[in-house]
Amino acid sequence: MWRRIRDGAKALLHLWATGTPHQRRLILLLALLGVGLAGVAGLWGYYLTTRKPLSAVLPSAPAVAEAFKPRYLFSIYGVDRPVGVAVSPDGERIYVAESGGERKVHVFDRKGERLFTMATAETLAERTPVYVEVDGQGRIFVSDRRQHTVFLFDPEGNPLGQMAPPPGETFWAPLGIALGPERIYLTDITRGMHRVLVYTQDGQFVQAFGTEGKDPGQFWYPNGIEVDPEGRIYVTDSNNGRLQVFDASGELLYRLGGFNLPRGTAMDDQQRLYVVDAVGQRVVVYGLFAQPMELLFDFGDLGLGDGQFNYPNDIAADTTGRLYIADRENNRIQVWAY
Amino acid sequence: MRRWHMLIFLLLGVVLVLPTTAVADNGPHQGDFNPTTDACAGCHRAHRGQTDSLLVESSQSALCYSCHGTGASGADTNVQDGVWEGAQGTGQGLRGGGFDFAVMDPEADGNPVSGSTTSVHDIEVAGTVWGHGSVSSTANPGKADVVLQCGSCHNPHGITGGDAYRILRPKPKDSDAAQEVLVPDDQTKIYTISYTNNNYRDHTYLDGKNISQWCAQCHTRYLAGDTQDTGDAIFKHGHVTDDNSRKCMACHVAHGTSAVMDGAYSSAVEWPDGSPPQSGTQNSRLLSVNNRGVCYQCHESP
Repeated sequence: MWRRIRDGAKALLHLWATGTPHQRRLILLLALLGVGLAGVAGLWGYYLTTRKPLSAVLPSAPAVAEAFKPRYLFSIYGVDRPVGVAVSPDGERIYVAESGGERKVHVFDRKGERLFTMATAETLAERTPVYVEVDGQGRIFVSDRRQHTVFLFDPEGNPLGQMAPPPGETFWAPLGIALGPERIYLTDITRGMHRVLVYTQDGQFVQAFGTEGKDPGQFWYPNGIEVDPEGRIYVTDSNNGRLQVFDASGELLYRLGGFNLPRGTAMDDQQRLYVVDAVGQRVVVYGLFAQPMELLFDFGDLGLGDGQFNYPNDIAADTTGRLYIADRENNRIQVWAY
Repeated sequence: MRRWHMLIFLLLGVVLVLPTTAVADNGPHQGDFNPTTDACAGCHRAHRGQTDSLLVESSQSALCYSCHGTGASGADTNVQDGVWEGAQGTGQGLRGGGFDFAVMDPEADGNPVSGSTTSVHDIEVAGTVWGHGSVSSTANPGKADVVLQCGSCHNPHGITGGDAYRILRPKPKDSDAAQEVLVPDDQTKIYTISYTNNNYRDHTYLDGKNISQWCAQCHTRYLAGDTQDTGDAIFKHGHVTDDNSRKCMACHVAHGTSAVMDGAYSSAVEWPDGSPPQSGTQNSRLLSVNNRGVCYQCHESP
């Protein structure tokens, strides 16, 4: 082989010495091409032998998320000890359930101007709205701890009726609400049978899962609930200080701890799940792109100032990047944005 | 020999189970405590506590209200509204009344209603502990500037030495009491009021003498064994309170009442130190019935 190369080189030198100018240019081009190919091969070989994995070069998902934390914008005042908050998908209306004052559901516009209020019962003593949600049709769902049911209102606040307990049961205590594309999910704290209830969009009971207790899959005052596009159900098992994740059939997938008193939840369109830790005075954010979920970051601390919490209880996220947090003891709704 | 082994194992099992049994119903806040527990940090900070109980937050009542407040999404006992949320309908009244509202029967007609409280055991603000101190021929207006919190009377972790009624501390904070008074619990929890039997007097399972002794850990000079002259400069004569029929809770509620004192006499009763009452409606002194209707509950034929 070396002889062939050597003979080839001699032939090229001979041709270079005796050839025409055209032949010489051709030889020059071939030589440059050879050097170029050798250089590329050398660089490629160097890259293949020294390269680092992509994960070592790029920042991690939490690090990226940390760099894009939401920031405090302003607060909506004029509510008394708010415990529930929801926002319409287009971000134009904010719904707030207050546990103090008149104990009404206040509806605000995006700028924080009050539009109207709704009451779940005639007298103050008879009503205690807690969690509120709104679906794509503008229907407003409000759970009431005193009335032991979930009320429905149309987008203008006119009563549409209320949901019913599972068949054969006369007493229930629904609390958290999640509105999936096909199902309505409720947390229920009926004494002795804390659980999750699943209904169709027109209010027909489908199934219940979970029992009261502290073991995996059991509940002790479940509060917030969300459902992701894959049908996974996320429940804050409040008094057990954990978040439990179930598949669509109600089988426990996994659970996450580390909360003081997890309460309300929200999910945005960027695959982020928000959990309000009422006693931890913070909002914990998870990424849904990995399962089990990856902790991205948390925000907030105890205080009376802007962006500080005093027993927050619920959160809502719209499609414009805004977050609304019911800051209970500070008597306000905090508005944050990315 | 095998029988002896079985007996030893059985006894060992009993010994291991006994402490668990003792605390099993000794307070509803028994979390997942074990040698590597995460539960303590739910409420406490070892070095950055904001109150003397090393609580993570500065307001103890706000912490308690997170579960026991209006909305009560972490408990059925809503002490802010004085309502038991675990019952059908719009809630039954708690025996202790409530701090903001109370579901009571102040008209004593068997029709309980929810009303704003007119007097409460003030929490988070400085107040006077009336009747605090030993019986004395020298006037003593009580202990001033005492700030009550939920934890002054209740121990969320439970009580050492046995199950305690409503996890009441045998020695309330700031009581200066020398002895402990354990109010035994009843295994059948009864949180609500029977409105058909003179309302708040229906503590059939509660030893009246015992609960009065507990109240007297702070309100020392109200505890009276008979109606003779006590020799006290202020609390000279009083109702007998250390028996089962005339316990403190026959007339008073612990948290707050919605009873209204709008009668000419009831609204003008001065405080123990002789200072005038604040106003008619705020002068209910934690009594469970309007005006002095509590008198009529026992003395039905005046």
